Amino acid sequence: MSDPMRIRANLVNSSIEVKLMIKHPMESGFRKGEDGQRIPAHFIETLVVRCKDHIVLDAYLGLAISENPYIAFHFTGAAKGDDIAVTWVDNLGASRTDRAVVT
Amino acid sequence: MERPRRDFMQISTALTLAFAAGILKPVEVFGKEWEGTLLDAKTVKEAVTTLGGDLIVNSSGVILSGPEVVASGYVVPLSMSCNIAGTDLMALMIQKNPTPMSAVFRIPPDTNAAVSTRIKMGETSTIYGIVRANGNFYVGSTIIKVLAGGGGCG
Repeated sequence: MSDPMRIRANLVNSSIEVKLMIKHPMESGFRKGEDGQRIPAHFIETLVVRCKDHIVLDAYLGLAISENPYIAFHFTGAAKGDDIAVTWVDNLGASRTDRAVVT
Repeated sequence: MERPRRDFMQISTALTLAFAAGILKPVEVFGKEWEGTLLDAKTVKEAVTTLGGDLIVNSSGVILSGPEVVASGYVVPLSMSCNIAGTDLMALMIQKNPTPMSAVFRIPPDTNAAVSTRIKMGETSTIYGIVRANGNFYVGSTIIKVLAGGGGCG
């Protein structure tokens, strides 16, 4: 069970500013734990952000993105009240979608 | 090799419906462009070659900004932006990381070609931003000094 991500989508000067704070360990698989064993790789591979079912960002993130990924970007063509959906899929096949509304 | 934007949108709509219906998992489909060769690229030249390009232009239009020095490589803020019209793909490569290809963003037409994120760096390294705009490839770079590496950064 993954934790929910924080999604901020604010209309700023006619474009939507999106800030995502996703909860995920983003283990590269190279780190060793205290017992000297490698901690298995566990990281988000793909991220898709949609506004009203229209893709506004589509990304491969990978193991060099820091733990609890932060992603920020801007897009145009939406208005306050529009639905934002963010979906990620990780290397173990787990996925999560969270939603927010443009404010 | 590259799909026109119009096809991208049609494919995206079809995919969206498929994902909503639970038929397809994103990694199965988006994985086709991400997988294998692009993510394995060790140099900017290799990355551009796998995307079907051959000419790479060093451009001041590709802007990478981050701190000059960080104490720890675990969480390094980095922004990548491009003011070249028609940008539809931005890729980030951290030269000295074991897996240099760190992030790839596909930028639809109404999205600004500018993304901020936080990366892991194993050691002081050059960071390359590769941009595809109108089928042409551009690259920009910056150097970030790391005093204590983010071990196991990939």
